[in-house]
Amino acid sequence: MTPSWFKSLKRWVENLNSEYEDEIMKFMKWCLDSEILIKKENLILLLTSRSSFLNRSVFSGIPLGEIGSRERFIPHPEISSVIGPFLKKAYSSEKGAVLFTYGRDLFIESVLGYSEMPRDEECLLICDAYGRDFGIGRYKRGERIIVNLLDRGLYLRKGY
Amino acid sequence: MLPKTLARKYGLREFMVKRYIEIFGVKGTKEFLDKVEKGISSYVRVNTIRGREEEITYRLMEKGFDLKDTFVPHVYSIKGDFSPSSSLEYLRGEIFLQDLSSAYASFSLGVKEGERVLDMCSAPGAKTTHIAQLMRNKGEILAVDSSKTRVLSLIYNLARCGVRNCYVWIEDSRKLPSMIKSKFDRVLLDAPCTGEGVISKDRSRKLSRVEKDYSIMSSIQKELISSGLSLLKEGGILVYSTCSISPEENEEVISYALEKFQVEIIPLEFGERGLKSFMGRKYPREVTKCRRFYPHVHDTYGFFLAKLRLVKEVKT
Ligand SMILES: C[S@@+](CC[C@H](N)C(=O)[O-])C[C@H]1O[C@@H](n2cnc3c(N)ncnc32)[C@H](O)[C@@H]1O
Repeated sequence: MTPSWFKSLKRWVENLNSEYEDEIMKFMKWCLDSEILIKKENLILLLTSRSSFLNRSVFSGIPLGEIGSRERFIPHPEISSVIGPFLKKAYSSEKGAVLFTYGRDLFIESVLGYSEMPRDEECLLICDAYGRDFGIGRYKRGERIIVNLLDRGLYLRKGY
Repeated sequence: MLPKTLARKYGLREFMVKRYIEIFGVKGTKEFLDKVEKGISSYVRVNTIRGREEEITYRLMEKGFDLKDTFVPHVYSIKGDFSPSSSLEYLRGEIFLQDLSSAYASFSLGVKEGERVLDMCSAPGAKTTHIAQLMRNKGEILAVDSSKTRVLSLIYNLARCGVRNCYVWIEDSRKLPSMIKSKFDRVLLDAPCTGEGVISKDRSRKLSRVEKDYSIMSSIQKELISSGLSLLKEGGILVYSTCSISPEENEEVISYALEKFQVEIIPLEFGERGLKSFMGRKYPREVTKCRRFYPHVHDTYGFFLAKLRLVKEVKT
């Protein structure tokens, strides 16, 4: 039986509208079946090692997100390190990347290039010129903008 | 007269000034208090889990930060027009803001890849993330803290810094020996304390403490160090640290460990020697091998550090 939190995660992935959605879900399902994708309290964790400490642990591995009210999946900034390799990339200017981490959208004028041309409404990994990722955004061709979906500035804004 | 005058001038309680005079003398106390008022340098640790040190420091310098090497590898003093905590490097976990003395504690633990390490009072994770970095994210760290809210910050710091070899428990570390059967190669006990050493950062601590706090903290610290030593393998290392300069929380706790357990103190290269005595109390000679850090001498928080080796394992 697929747990309901996995279905929420799946919905979130579908919503990314990525050309590589099938690959992402295949990988997630494999992690679930291998029991390395787990739910602890309301955190969804991807385990990176196994130990006898795990049973009592409230945390280990990579936090992908949390399950909020009405079983909604709320992504954590670290999810980009897991699904990032599957996503197309938009390379941003330094200024654009900084604004993105303030929770702002990215104007197409700040984009230096793409790893592959995105489809309209497709979600992309936002990187700087050095290829360091800062979050995920949705490409809106008509509006000439990449809408902020998730960024590493959450570490500050959420007061973590 | 003098303690009262100084207490008024620096907004401290008189008993605190009397204690400082006992440690530093009058001249040293004034220098200490002046430096506390002025504040100490800021430091960052470059997190090599997230990238190459040369590249990260280069990018920080490109942004106008002035970096200077310190005696702890990967740790730099940093000056700039804005706080490094709002930089992209911080958000990506490429740097961690951490006092030099605190980084020296985690560095002194001397961890190696693949070891089993216990961090008994770990939140918010400055030292845990440092230990993971030094272990190259291999082996395992059990990071424990009794505060649920502080554990949340720990979790997010671990995530931000890309730490993958850590297990987090919310637990009173005094109870650990009854819960864990196997022993650890190394234990870090960065104990809860009066925080007297950080008054340059947290001014509320100038007036928030009363004299009996030292003895209350001291008994908790003794319980914690007993728990930590009980969980150590024979020959294993325990580093004890506090951000306090009060001997009750430091030399007295180490004297207690020397008395109750078969341990030896390993001298460290940096810092001033531990005290031989304080306000009529005498400590074993060995205790001078502990290390003290002071704002006016080392440009760090007031900090205490002891590195112990367990000579004979405790049967549990
Ligand atoms: C000095 S702080 C630790 C700082 C941390 N090591 C770091 O470098 O970021 C002390 C911590 O001890 C925790 N603490 C206090 N009593 C404890 C106990 N009995 N067991 C476990 N943790 C405890 C506090 O919640 C606090 O987070």
